[in-house]
Amino acid sequence: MDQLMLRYEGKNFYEIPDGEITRMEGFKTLSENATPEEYSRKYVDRKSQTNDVVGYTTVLDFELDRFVGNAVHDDIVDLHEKKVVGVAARRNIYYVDFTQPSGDGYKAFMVPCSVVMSNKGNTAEAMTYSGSFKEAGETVFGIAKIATPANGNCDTVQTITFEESAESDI
Amino acid sequence: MDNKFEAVMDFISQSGHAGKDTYLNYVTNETNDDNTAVLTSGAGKVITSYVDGACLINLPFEIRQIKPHSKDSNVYSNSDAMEEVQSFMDWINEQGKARNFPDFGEGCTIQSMATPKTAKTPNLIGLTESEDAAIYVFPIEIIFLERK
Repeated sequence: MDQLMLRYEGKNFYEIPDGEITRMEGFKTLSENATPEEYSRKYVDRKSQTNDVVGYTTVLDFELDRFVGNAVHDDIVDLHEKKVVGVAARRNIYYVDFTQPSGDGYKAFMVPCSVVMSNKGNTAEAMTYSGSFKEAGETVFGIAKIATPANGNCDTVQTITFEESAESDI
Repeated sequence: MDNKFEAVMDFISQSGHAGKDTYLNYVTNETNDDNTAVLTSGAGKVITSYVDGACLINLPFEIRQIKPHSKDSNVYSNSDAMEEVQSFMDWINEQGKARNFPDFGEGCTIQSMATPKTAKTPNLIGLTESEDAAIYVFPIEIIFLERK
């Protein structure tokens, strides 16, 4: 029987500069939007238009509840508070599909992104931050392995390692 | 510690405010027992679900303390008793601010521990049968992240 893939079975990870590739916790929203770039033209010998997709721009919009002591949040908040710009505001975001085992890991990809912050403190309860991770480089496909905890699984995973692999396109 | 209720009981019993004994979900009305009851007050509720499968859960408790009670006029023993419970309440909030929490085990991280915003002082809910002791109560809320 076809089985529904649940959102938590595809997890995102964040590469902390000089640190580990760490699970992104406390994110209420982390949705990926792909904006296609198209090439449309009309040939004189045809009645209808011809369209080709020639590229995509990927944007992940996010909203997080700030957790004190969370290394991913610490880095994102630092980028926001210091209004970091340019290459210094780029981070690698990973997506791991835990429904697709491959060897002793899982199919995954990494997208270099610019962290674009937009809002802070939108609620009266928790401190929230929101913004977007906007694609800033080529997507790299590979295999992710659970680094911590030892014998971890999709539920308990905290950090991963990532190895590029041409055969792992997902 | 994976047993959250045991963790809260241990935390309360080691507070220095709980008296001789700490009970979970049992209230004794023996005045001279000098004890504290930790009562679960309703089910833990998911207040936020995150995209990675983790949940933020609010686990409410009620703390009950029995203190000697006087029917005499112009004495301050009842106010002293009230103040003792208030200082316990304040201690809970201080621990929350200092991020000194009970240990809920590897899969859980406590995010906050405090009395609710609307509860600033303990509530006297009645007297024991012998009427020589009063029952004070105050609520606490523990909000924790449970990973999935």
